[in-house]
Amino acid sequence: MKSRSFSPMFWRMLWRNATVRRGRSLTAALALAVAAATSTALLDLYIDLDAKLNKEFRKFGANVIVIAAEGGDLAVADIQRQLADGDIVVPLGYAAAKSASGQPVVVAGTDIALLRRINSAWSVTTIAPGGDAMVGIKAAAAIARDPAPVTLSFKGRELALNVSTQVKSGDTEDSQIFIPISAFHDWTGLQPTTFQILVNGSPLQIQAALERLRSALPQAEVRPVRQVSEAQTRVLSKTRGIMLASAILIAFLVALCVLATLTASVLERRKDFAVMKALGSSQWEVNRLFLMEALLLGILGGVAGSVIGMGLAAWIGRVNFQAAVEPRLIVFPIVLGGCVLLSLISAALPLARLHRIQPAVMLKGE
Amino acid sequence: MLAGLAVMLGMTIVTAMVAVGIDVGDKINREFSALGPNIVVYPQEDTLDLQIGGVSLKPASEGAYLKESDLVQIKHTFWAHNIQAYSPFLYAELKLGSGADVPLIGTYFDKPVPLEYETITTGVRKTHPWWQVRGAWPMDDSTDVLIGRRLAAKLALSPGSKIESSGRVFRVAGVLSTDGAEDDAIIAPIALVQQVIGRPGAVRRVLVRALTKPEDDFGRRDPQSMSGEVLERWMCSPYANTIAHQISQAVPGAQAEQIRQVAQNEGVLLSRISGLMWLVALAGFGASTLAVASAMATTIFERRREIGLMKSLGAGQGLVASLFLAEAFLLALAGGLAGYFLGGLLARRIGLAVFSSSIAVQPVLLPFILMLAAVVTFAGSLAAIRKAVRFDPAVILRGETA
Repeated sequence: MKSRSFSPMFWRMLWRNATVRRGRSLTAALALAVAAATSTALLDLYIDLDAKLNKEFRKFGANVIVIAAEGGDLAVADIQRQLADGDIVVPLGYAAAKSASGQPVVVAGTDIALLRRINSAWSVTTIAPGGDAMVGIKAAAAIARDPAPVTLSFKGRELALNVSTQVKSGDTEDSQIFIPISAFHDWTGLQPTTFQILVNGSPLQIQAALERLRSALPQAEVRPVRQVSEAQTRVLSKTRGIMLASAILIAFLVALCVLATLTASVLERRKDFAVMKALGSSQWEVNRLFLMEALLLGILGGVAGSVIGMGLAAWIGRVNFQAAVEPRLIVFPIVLGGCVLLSLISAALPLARLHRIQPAVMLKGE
Repeated sequence: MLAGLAVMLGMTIVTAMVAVGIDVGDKINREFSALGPNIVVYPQEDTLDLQIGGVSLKPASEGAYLKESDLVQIKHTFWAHNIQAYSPFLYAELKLGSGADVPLIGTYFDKPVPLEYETITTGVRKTHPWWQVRGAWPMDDSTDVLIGRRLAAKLALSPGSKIESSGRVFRVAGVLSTDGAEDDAIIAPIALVQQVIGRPGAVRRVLVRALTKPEDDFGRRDPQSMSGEVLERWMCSPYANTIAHQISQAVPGAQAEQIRQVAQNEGVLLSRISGLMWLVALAGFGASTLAVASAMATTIFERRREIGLMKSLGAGQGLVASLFLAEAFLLALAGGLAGYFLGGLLARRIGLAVFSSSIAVQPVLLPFILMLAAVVTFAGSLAAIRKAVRFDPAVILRGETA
């Protein structure tokens, strides 16, 4: 039996089945491919969603702030050691200085390039390309009456301001003047005391970094920027929820329709089925032919759909997040398995029904 | 039967996905309230902010103030409904019995504000949802205060303790934890702080939480450079800039600005998330369309025997085709209608499950869904009908398919 089971005749029947009525095979494969493509795209997007959204949340700026203990000395390296590569630490030292006209103003010594990098939403305009100071928009208006170059004094020591850019943040930075940290130190003798930190990753990873910093720097004050991490957690979970609900719905609909289409296409061939049985095929032989066909169809539709789905996910990622969604290897076997299973079920259901009917009745066409 | 079911299911998904796609932006926007205020209002004539690490160095007597009684105008602007809440702030210092000066912040906690037709409540409980209180929130008309977590630890105070300062006695209602500068301060009802500094009705700045529309190139334009119709169109979009501009005009002597870090980024994030949902909805739309079309094709193919019979009885191709198309049309109407209502239920369930507030389907969607159902069923049937009417009836009736 076994030797006869996959005879050339079997393959010939399979091949002719697929090629003689191409339209039907094509419709079935197409339905499966659509199902596979949609599921692949949605699964890829769903898996990548957290990473994409976490990356978007980085734009909200620092999510941890470390403040050195009074009189304590804290270096960027001490903090960086507790963090992963790619996390950004911006040191800030503050001093209350006076302009020549007696206007008090807060001057911050910092790494201006890094500060701007983590606060990308600020609107920065270049005033003079050669300078090194960044002036808040309100501070700029307040010192505008001073004769250029503006000099600031701190505890009797003077500093000539070399303004290069103007910043508008809508927050306290608008009233401040930023200068490079080395110039700040030479002028005031003060060290940075505040560190704005941008930790990459999920709310959990940020929390872990927070704990590490707290235990490594017991003297310093380590604060989360609570509103950002809370919003991140909330928005992430809601978006994930809505995405999952949509994906399940769509996958369910598509699966149902594929099931209906494939079932109908098997039922439609009840005459072939009846002829085979009338000619003496065993139940097993008939089943094998139909199931093998379903299996091949499932694989074909699943593979083609997966490829299309990956492209679809990558396209959505590029359009919406300006970064392609990476195809996930784990998705492929899931989708392929689902397709094959779906295809086999849609063949097995009508087969079970057909076996209960006499071939003669079917051939008569009733 | 199969086709009707397919149309109904397909339209259910389309209705649900479109409803979710329309509403998700608004829902996520509300989640963004966790980010806190996105617009700040301060006096036009203000001197520079002198804040280091959230502690104001500016003497309470210096600089300009807004009038508390003018703030209600914020809720009388064109975009009042988009303004979810606002909190005024006034900063001072409190000399404690021990001789130490501690920062004193006056604000609204959850203050009732009477408007023309209704009374709203506003304050930090709405604008700063991440503030947590152990004990109770003080009433806005009481002399109770909140004490920052770190200050409470330093002074060994807890809810129920009393604070004395130059003849005044405050009761600590609760201990506040914000992980910000407020942890080192005393937070009191604003009226109390106005008394302490002897300036009734004074407000240093106001933080506003508004629902805004993501900024595009048009929204970034300067209202000063616009005129007439363009300005009107700009004013009629709830950009953060527009709302700030309107607040500046409504509150005397005030200047309002968007807090860029919040306003800009939440706009970007919002358009990303709703964009994603629209694309997912589009995928659902495409899948439903194909599903309906393939089900239609299958059904008609199965009924070719009927077609053969009709044709052998003398029906012309046109008659057969129009019969099937009419049937498809009825099917589309029934399936579309059922799908619209089922989709509405589904959208509601999704909204309740994910956002704990329901997503409503706009009635305006119904004609759109019916039309879509008709188009999809027609498109799905057309090829199959065309093929079916060309069959030779004799061949079909003999049971041999072409």
